Amino acid sequence: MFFRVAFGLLMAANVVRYELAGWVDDLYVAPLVRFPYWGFEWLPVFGSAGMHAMFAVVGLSALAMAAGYRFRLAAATFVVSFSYLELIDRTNYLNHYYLVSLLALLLVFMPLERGRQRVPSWCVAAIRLQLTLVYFFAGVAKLRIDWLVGAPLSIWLRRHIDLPLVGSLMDEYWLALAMSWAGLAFDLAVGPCLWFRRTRPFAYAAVVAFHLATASLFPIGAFPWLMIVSTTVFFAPAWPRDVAKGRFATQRTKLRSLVGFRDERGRSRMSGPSLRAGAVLIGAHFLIQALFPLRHLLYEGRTEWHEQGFRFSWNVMVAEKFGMVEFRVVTPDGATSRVHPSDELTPLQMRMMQTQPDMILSYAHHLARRWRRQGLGEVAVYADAFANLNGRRRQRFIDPEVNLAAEEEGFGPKRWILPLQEPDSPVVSARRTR
Amino acid sequence: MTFFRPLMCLALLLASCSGDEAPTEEFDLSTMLSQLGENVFLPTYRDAASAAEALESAATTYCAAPSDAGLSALEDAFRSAHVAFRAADAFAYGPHTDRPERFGPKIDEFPVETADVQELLTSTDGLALEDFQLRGNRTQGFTVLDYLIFSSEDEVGSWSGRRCEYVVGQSGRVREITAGYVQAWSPEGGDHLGEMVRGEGRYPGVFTAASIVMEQLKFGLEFTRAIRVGKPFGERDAGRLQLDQFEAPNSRGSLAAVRRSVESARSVYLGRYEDRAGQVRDGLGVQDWVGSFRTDLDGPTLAEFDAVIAAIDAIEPDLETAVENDGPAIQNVLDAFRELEATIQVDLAAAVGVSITFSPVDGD
Repeated sequence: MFFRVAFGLLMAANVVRYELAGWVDDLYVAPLVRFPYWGFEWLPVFGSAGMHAMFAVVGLSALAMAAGYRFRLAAATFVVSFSYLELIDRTNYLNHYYLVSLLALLLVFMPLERGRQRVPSWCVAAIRLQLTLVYFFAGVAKLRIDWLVGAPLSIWLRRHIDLPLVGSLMDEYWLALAMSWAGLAFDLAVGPCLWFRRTRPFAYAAVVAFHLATASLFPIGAFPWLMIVSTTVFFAPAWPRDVAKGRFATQRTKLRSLVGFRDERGRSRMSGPSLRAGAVLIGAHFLIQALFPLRHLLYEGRTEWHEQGFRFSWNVMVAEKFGMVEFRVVTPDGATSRVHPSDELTPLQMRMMQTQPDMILSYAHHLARRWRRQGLGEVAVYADAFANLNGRRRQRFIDPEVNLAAEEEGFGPKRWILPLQEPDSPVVSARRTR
Repeated sequence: MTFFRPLMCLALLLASCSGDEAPTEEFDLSTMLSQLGENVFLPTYRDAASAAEALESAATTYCAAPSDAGLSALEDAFRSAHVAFRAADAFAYGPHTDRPERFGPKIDEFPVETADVQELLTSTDGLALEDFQLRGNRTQGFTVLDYLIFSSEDEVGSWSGRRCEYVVGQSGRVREITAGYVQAWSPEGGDHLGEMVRGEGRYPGVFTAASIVMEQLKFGLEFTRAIRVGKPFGERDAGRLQLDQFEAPNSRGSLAAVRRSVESARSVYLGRYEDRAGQVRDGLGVQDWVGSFRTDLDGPTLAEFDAVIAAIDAIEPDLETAVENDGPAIQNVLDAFRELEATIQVDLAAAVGVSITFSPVDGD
């Protein structure tokens, strides 16, 4: 119940936050060009009133979830409206919004209406498993040399050298290294530690400390609060009452009851075909969740560089890229126009596209369509793109000889992304040469 | 093996960590901002204000007693004032772009709206400064002075009274606004510099203020490359020349403006400025900020600044002519610009952790 209320209120507060900050207009209304996900180009894009209305739907359905009012309908409405806002533009992709969508999707199938005193234990287990997978894969994603030598964090911490008291430490290499390893250890260990009674209180304290620290250092929005709130599901369902009474007992998790479709007293909530269907659905969900983050193994090269298989894989804060891109459009008669994307993209779209090859490809296709609409025929579109990864020297990012207008979107390997040339990050090479 | 590779690399790293330390010299962003302000920003604006005063004086003198020498002095004064103002391109933020001052659009938009200006010259509409509040920005400031002073084929002394009134009025406006920049930036006035140094007001933190310095370094160069050079060259228009898009075509001052704009960026990079009196002021700049993290980027960056300047200097006799007759030379300029911009936006920004085109939204 606590999770339901807290999750709903947090999501509703996030909507208010977006409205107050003007981000609904900046991120959803203002863009003249969109970067929908491959396969979702058909989604309609609403105008200002429609977008604000969609946010209102997200907020109201979140409040309804919190209240437990027509819970499943509210959760389904939330999933559809929230996911719509995510799917219409890759620019706005955030790992924790993906997590929000997944959690809400699980909630759609859970009987969490107001007044219900107990919920089937599989509901608790599903949320716990989902959170565990997030931490686990976030930890696995950090098992990369750049992270292990503190390269991304050494860049990010530099932004805080004007902090009072601790600012002077922020450009110390040892701090970046220590924080990198601490983050890695946290991500890999916290999931299992939350499952076990003896380690759970320490693990939760680590969750709170870790996410408060990241909230104070990095602009990651609702993510820290989402995790601090969500991981309370690892405690016994009665923990809010226990805390109110001044005791904070930790219960042993009964593994057998968690994997079954039974409530905490062991009574079956479903039977026959519905049980089997439910089990298959949940099983399929977690099978996908276990495999999908690994799809990057199907692509050659550094995932942080080419970003194939990067999204939806819990690559949470594992790399820092800087980029710059312009396009050349060549008409059939050979005339070349240079396109500065900043003329029509928002600053955030620019920032994201400069380092994300699939967005560069989408924009190239957009340019080809634009020229076609102007009656200028089938044009070729080339990108002059430069980027660096975790502080390496910049290099060409996209093959400038490849006509991107002729390249297809999708999951196939993008051979027009040039491989990363400098294998080790500068932190490593600097240490080796001094 | 793939799994163990990071661990092997890490072992190598740690093994080599016991030797020399990385450069750990303390670098203070507030000091850099303060020195940039005192050594570069304020002297540049003071020079621009002083050149604008001379321009207004020359305009008044010529219109009071037209002569060949007076016209020549007015033309020189315009060229000086224009390039003196371009020297501030690398820090064209704050009072330049933000309200309430928002000085930039009032004197620094181009190309000139010739039809509107001609209409003004022949009409009886007011030409006082307050009369321009509702008129387009491209009938005001440097762009209209370039047109009014240099485009007339009339005999010396045959300027109409309205033309003189327009020139004197706009020279006065340029003088007033350039003085406004000095006032807005200086500690005795609006203390915009103090806001940056302390990370207050428009700058939520010193790092944000320093980030703006880095961003404008890039955007100033990008604007010069794309709009002052690339646009007339037809870079955006399938190679069709846009000869009405030059910044100062009548004075043939577009090339000097481009060069001065690059020098402005170099000044901010180096933290060094030589004022109109020849006095050199030197202090901390972006070079030192980057150098506090990475020393290997300075050489390539300086070489790229030199390459842009050399490419500009190779253009003859002026930008307007070269755009029509010497495409390869213009292309060299554009290519050299792009290299320098990429170095700033990608390499230098990464070295200090600044995200160019930063948007204050959630991440990851």
